[in-house]
Amino acid sequence: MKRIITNILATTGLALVILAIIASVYEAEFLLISAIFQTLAANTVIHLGLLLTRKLESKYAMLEATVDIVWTVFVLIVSGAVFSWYSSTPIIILIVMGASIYLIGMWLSMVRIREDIAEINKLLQRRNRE
Amino acid sequence: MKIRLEQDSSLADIEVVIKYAKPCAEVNKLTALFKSATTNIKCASDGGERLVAASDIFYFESVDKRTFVYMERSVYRTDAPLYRLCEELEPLGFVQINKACVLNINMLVSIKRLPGSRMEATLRNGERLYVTRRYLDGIKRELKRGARE
Repeated sequence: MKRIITNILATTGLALVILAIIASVYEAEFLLISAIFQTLAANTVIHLGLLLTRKLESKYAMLEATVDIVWTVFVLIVSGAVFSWYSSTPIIILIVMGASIYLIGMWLSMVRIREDIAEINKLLQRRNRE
Repeated sequence: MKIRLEQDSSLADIEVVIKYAKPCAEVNKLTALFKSATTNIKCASDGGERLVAASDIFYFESVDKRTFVYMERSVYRTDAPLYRLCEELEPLGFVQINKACVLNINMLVSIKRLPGSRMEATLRNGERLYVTRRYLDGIKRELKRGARE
């Protein structure tokens, strides 16, 4: 539970930073407070869905990643329609943002996996030595 | 560590007494080892049945709703579902490593990362099994528990 809340808040923060960067490029000056809550809502739905997609375990990592990305983009497109984001943000920017955040998340996850494996192998070595 | 064997014809069953000055990892390891050596799993073998010691099992795998028991060189079938084996044998060091496989952690030699956030476990008999990230925490927890106890 703690991890999912951390993940939701982390990706919401990341999305807002990327949104602010893109908005700055387009010379925008402010971000609506409602956009923050809408981003939080979209991220919550994405993460709840990802909990379900994780259950569709496959030997092929690419298949899992594709399912995750399709779900993320789907939620973003629907959220865009529900919250009227398309009046200010083109759909392609939304998709690029979603994919970027997913890839950053994947990279962080791989770093964590690498650390976990190193720790496991160290514990195994110690255990087998005893 | 001293090992002393005593024959006592009045005993109905084997009795193991572990004497120690203070609890440590070695004592817990020995206790788990004795428990797993005396925990048997009923398996189907060549039309008959046989009991297999949990300590000799490398891993369990569920394929098409059937559970297979993998030993060093042989494979048996058991009627017990994977989730029940996982629950029952968890105190003996059995952990889930992917949705269809429960591994005896004592048979694990190492884990390596494969391309695309996939992992591979190498067992004592050289066999390799895939591990999913979802179960990585469980493996780590089990190894830490063993080291702490």
